[in-house]
Amino acid sequence: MLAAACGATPDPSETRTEPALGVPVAAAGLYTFALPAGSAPLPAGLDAAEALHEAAEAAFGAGDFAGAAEGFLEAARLANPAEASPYAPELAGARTAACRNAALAFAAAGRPDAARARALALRGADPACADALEALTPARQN
Amino acid sequence: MALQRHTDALRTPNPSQGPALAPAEARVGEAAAAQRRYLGSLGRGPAPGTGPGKAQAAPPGADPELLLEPSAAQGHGEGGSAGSEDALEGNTPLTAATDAPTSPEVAATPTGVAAVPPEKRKMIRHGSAGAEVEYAQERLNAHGAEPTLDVDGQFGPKTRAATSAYQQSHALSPDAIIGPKTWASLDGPVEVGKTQGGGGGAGGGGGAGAKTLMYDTATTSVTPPAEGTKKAAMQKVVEAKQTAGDLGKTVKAEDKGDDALGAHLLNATAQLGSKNRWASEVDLQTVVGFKPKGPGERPVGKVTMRLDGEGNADTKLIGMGAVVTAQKYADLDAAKKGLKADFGFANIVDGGATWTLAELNKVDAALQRTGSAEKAALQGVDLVREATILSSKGTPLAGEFSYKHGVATGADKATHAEKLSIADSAFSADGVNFIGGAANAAEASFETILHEVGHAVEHAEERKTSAAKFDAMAGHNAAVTKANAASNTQSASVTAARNAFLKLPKDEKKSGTAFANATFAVTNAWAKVANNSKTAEHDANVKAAQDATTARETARTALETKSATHPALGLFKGPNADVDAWGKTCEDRVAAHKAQEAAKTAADAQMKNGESKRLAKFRTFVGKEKLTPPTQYAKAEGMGEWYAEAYSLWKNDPAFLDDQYPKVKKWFDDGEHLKD
Repeated sequence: MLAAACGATPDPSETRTEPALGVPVAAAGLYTFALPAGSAPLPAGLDAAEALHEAAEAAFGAGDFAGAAEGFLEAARLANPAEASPYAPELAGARTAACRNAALAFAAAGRPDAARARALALRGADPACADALEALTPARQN
Repeated sequence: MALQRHTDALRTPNPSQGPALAPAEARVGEAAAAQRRYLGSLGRGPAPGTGPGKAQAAPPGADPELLLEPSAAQGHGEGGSAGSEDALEGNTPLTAATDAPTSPEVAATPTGVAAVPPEKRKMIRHGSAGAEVEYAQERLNAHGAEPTLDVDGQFGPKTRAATSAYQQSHALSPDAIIGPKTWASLDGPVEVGKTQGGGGGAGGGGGAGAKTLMYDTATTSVTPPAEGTKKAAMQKVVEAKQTAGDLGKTVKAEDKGDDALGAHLLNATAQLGSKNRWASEVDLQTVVGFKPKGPGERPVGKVTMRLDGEGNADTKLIGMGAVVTAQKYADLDAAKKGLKADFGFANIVDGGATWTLAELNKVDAALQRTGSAEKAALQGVDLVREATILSSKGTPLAGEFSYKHGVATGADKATHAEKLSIADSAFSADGVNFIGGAANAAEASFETILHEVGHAVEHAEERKTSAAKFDAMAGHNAAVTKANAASNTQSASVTAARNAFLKLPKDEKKSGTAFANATFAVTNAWAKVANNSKTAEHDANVKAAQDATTARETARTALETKSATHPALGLFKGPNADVDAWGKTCEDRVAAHKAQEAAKTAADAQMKNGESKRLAKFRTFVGKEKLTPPTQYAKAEGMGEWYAEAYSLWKNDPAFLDDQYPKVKKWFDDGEHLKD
């Protein structure tokens, strides 16, 4: 499972008499939040979803992983219109990307429990998002 | 970057929808006859010879033409009783079956009064009552009686007034007595003269005073004159229309000296003559003569009627016989295979309705009018047959071109759906109207079919680049998935190696630290590549990672030289292979990200102010030339529909376009619609 961390920090176990040992990192590349396009009108609220996702990407880049995770999830929520839409399958694809990004951000923040809790909460309202969160979040260690 | 989205619905309105129009003489059809094409119209300057100035005087040698001016025509005084019930006495009795023009809307087997031949029905008048009156009221309503009559079987003052008005507009003596001739006429098909579909206005024309003609695409038919009606009788009706202001000073009907043809052309002119049709052209397939003495039905011909902006009429028979579409394909499978091969359709789909062979032959014949570059716009599109199509507002449509692009659940595969859908109503005017001129007259449905192709052409480049953009986005997401998985793999193995390294004896740790840190530097460098979303920084980041890898190898070689059996060499061998594999996925992700950004840029370049670049170009063109929309639908629904209507007319009736909108025709002739 991805254990994202950015930058290297000295290992506290090392003594001053030994050369500092660096820390390897994993990196979470973010998914593209691809809102659909077409001849039929898009549901309302997608501009806001897109703006939120962009802001969350910026937060992630700045190291605010917890804030980014919330932003990604909110973007996914706005891309899940209540009314029927001809774009429903494509919006599910966009939400998958946002929710995967949320999982990556929770992981980078060291908060897998939060990701699992959100997945549980979303199971009824947005199964696609819940699946995406769970897929990138390690199961709880017993 | 904002994703491109389009809110224009690429649809042809259902002809059965639209604002009501009920001029007293242009009666509106009953439901059974109300399946229509969408309304359209076209215009530029008055057609040569049809402008008010030119048309007021009879041209030299215009003998076959009928030129009526109210002041003179009213003095003709010909047979005011020609159309009366009394005058019919000596005529051959008519039946509804033989007098009704061929029409797809012919009712089912009549029952009750309707089943009784007109000449055998009771003659009814004011004060009459019973089943015949009920039936007459129903038929008068079907023909658009205004106000609508109560069907109560009582022939009161309202029924009398409606009867008289009906007779007046159908060359019948307006005596308010319903005898054999009026019965026969009432049995005939209703006129479908009002505007339907586009919601652009009451009629099919540009309106009084308009300088250009609009092309009226509403399903329009006329009730033929009763058997034996003389031209002179119809002249009277026309004169009354002129006096009432529904027709202008000049009425031309090129009858070539044929009295029966003259009667039919004037009948059509009278029935369709109303102010809301001024500045329009309509094409009718209609009865143009009487029943022959021997076997045979009343002849059908193709009639074009133009009303200029002053109400002056010019009605011509441009050819005998109904429009027939060649049956190129003999069976459905061959038609579907041929359409896919010739036009690149992905699928021929039976949706809410099923394609018939005749319909697919019509689609093929219509599409054969397109050029090769335009055919390319249909590549990969599904051709779908629907019973009904509803707009996002719930309005029934005759046709629709739609598309959508996105990524599927899973986010790593693009989805594309492009459909050209045709509904029942697109075909409802076939056999009733036509489009084109004498040389290229085609089924009315060609108009809808090529209208939708017009949308496909207008959006072709936009769709292509949009599809490529979503393909690239999905490709990027797939690359991210691979890169993140590879990152997890290297992270686990490098961390394990590091932990093992920390347990090495102090001197080995000291001698191996430079190599270990060189390994960690590589992971950090690739992490920077993986996290970066700025295209401009990709190359430098990748170069730094590659340099770090080179440095690591240098450190490894140095360590090997110093101690070929140093445990760090073994500890990091596998992890470094994982890191290198991750690096490869990072490079792939970078390439995918670059492709995504390039595809976005290309897609954005096909858009201008929220519409396709092609449409924006057309908008600029018509604005600069100060052109008016060619049809009511185009006028009502905006620039995208205008483009599609113009495209359809360019393909179906180029002569009309050249006459009324020469600049539009030249624009299409020059291929401007394909230049991006």
